[in-house]
Amino acid sequence: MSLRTITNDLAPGLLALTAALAIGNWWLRPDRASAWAAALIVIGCMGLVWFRVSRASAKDGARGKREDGIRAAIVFAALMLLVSLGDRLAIASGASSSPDFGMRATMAIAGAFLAFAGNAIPKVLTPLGNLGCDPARDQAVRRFAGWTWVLAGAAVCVAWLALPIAPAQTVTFILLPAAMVLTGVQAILPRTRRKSI
Amino acid sequence: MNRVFKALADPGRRRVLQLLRKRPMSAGELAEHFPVSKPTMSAHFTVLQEAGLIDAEKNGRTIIYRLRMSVLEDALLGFADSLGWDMKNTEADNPAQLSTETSRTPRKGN
Repeated sequence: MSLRTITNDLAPGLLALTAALAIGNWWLRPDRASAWAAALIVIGCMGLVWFRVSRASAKDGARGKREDGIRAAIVFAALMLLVSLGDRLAIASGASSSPDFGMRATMAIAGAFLAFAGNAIPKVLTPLGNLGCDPARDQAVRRFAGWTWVLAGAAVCVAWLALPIAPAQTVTFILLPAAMVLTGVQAILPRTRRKSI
Repeated sequence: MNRVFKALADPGRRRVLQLLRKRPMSAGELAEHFPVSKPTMSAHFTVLQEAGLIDAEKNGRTIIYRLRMSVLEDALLGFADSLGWDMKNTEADNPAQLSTETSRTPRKGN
């Protein structure tokens, strides 16, 4: 089963389930109505984007890759909301008393998304004619950025699944800015002039 | 994913990917490293392109090949090299020719 099939099939179901959880939370905790309303608005916007992207990709197959990325991002965002709202609902209904689970799962999914997005960075190529630098350097920067984000994302994911909350937060606050700085420095520092191949 | 494994199963194709790791190269530059016929090289480029591991872009009269590997595919290439995957007999084309000849001295001139 391809990623496109998974995201196509998963996204509507996940969004519907997330909306149901938000409504359930609203029913049990009406005092926080504004939070649930905001969640429902976000879910509605995500559904709208997914619908538009699906329609556009059905019309124009050439743009499929970019739209696959948007659909995958919607699936990850819906998963994060689903876990968070599910955790709130479980606590409100008395089924669970662990306030950490939602945070851990959300952060682990966020780490997995960073790794997933980083994995695709070297796959995105700029046409040679549009490159402003040496193609070899562009390739090296993309590979470096890809590896950096995959490793950082995987480490964040594992940290939130395996470590106590405080060390996991420390790992996240060290790794993510470090990954940003590393990729930024690698992209900005010595940009060689474009060579003809 | 099957296509990726098939493409990475041949040492010669892995050598092409390793060369492209350094910088994008034209078909001619890549062919200099493999003393095989152009159709054989072309068949290997096709397998790599179909697997989505390289990208070909026309630049004037030459075709420039560029690496188009995700991090996972890059890691798989590393594993394949260190474990020495070799599935010559399952190939539709004849990679044995390229695989065995990659170890020889590179062809001079072109």
